[in-house]
Amino acid sequence: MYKREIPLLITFLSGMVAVLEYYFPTDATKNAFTVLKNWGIVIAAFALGFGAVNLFIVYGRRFRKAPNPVDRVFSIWLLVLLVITALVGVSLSSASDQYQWIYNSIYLPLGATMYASLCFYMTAGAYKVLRAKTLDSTLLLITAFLVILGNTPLSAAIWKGFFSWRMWIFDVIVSGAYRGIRIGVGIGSIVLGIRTLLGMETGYLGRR
Amino acid sequence: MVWLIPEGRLTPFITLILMWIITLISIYYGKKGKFSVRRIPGLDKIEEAVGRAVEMGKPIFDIIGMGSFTSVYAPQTVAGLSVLGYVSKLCAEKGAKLIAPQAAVDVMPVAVEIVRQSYAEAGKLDELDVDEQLPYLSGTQFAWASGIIGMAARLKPAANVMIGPFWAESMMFAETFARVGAYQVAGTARLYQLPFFAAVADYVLIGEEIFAADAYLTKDPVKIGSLFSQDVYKLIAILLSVIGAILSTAGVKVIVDVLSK
Amino acid sequence: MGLEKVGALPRWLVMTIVVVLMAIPLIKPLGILPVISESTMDYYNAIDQLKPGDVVLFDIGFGSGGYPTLGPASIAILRHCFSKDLKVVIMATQQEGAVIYPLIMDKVKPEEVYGAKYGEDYVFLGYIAGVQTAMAAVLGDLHSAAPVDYTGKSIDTLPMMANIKNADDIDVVAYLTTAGEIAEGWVYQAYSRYKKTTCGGWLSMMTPSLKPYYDTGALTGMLDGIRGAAEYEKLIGEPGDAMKTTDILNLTQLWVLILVILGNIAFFAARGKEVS
Repeated sequence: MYKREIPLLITFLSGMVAVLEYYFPTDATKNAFTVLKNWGIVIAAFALGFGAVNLFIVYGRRFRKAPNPVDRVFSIWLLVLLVITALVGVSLSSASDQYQWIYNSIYLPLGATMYASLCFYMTAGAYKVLRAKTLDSTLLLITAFLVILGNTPLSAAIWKGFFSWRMWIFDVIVSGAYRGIRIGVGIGSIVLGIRTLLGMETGYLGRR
Repeated sequence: MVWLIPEGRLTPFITLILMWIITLISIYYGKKGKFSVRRIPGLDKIEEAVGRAVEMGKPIFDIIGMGSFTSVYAPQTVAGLSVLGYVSKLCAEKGAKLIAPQAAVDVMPVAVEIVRQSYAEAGKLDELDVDEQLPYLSGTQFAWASGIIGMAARLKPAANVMIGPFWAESMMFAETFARVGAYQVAGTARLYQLPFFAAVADYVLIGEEIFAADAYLTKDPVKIGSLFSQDVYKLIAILLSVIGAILSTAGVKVIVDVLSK
Repeated sequence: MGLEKVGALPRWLVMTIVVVLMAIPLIKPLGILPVISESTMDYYNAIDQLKPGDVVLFDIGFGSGGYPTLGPASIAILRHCFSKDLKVVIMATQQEGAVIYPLIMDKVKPEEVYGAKYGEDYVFLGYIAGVQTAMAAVLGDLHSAAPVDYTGKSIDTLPMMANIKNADDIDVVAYLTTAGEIAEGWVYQAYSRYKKTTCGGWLSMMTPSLKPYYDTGALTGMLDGIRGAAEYEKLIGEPGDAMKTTDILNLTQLWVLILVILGNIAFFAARGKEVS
């Protein structure tokens, strides 16, 4: 019973607190929900420690056993940076100049670079995919062509119509399709939630 | 009790009650085997993807995204875990190597438990190396993305199943795995990323199809019954939209007013 | 070379040309001014029509990934706010927003350029966890939601915060974000609940999904990615990084169009060869 029924009961009660808080926001429900949220934050913090331990296990093992010396260097470098950043953040706070320096010099450029690298992926993807092989792909090609033209300030400056076409595609075709998918996703999420509260969906417990 | 409900939430509350009732009725009839599910090609192809990995002697990736149980994307994460359960079961039975990198620290123990259970049921628990096959990469988006891209480039998997919540990294994954020749089945309910999957992946699950995954893969009549209730709600939504649009155009805002209560 | 080969250009060549096209405007800006869209104009007007002393709640809802696009937009919007002597309450619903804040303010330079004073004209509340919970808390009771600013100082000691307690004291809610839940969260919390004038900005790829909020009037103004940022810079008359980036956008997107044309020429050439 403790492996199945009790976790399902906890799930049901927690879910009902959240639902009741939304529809009947009395002091009692708000307080109960706040307690649950705080517990969630604490559990997430513990889980963060679990993630850090796993990093040490995986990359420590890779440092010891990887045949490629480059893998070993990068593995130990990851752990060194992890420790330094954690120590600086905990001892000096994340608002300190030292933490800011780490963030601005290492994390920010790397994050921005990865995001910017999307440009290369999209260029490669567009080149490979946008071909008029079938009716569907032809429609995709024409639409993508018009949207890119409308998105480019240069072409919009040549003829404002490109921009108007882009907006029409967004307003009429894309918005309509997105709203339909969004309604479906919302309904799917609610039904999944109902199945979870009823104990029919146990994926989150690690059981199929 | 009704007067306790704030403005703007009465209609959603009544709708939720009706949804519960319809879902329970659908589940009742589902248990009697009254419903069936149409083919979802993307989900059918997962078994093919695992077979491909076995034939080629290369690993198969199953990426469930970066969502956690405490975010609004939890339903998508649960859907991804259902698929992970199915993929891990197939991998254990057929002898394919599963790689399922993790990003969310609260989801990871569940994913590990699911995969362990699959391998245990197949009697192959000793073949599973959790640290190598389900490594925690990072909770931050691009550290996670670059980790997976690196793994894909090194391991050159035969197939990739990506079902769950994805952000900007979706295009990176789809393109990278396509470049290494992996057969891809991708699905997400995060609408911004659907176009990238649709363009690059071999098979796509659009929006709520990922929520149907568990019901479809397990053929559980109870879950299939709940899928029928989804179709009922969609039908109601379509009717309300059409009738509401016609009435609003005619200047009659009764549907808008009722839905705003 | 057969026409079908133009559809299989080496990857290194395609990417090298992308890099070259990115570099050209950095060396020699093209200076092509963007066409101002209605949504950006509405965002601009929502702030422009405020009077000195009116309050703007500004949310930095993005991190390092969104900074190249939304950083310039933030700088333009904040410059606009300070130029109009508005009171700006800045917060971050994204964890990295707290670290992005100093980068933005280093470029805005509110004290040097606009004579604004921290605590009297603007305040930064830091990162407030919880997304919609944070938004609801800030709009419901700001002093309880964020009792201290990002330096740890009590906001009760800051002169401007004496009269800013909740949503009633805020005139416009403006935000920039890369997260859909933050974008929608402000619509639900600021507009649906308090009917506040709400303006949102995000990455271009999010526009199709979020534009319905602007179309239905839930959002008064909308900033569409780097293009929207460049338009805003043009509106305030202070060209910045966004306008430079649109030059790059021009060239790279034209190259994508050329590649698509080449790919299709190759496809039809190969098909013609098969048929014959």
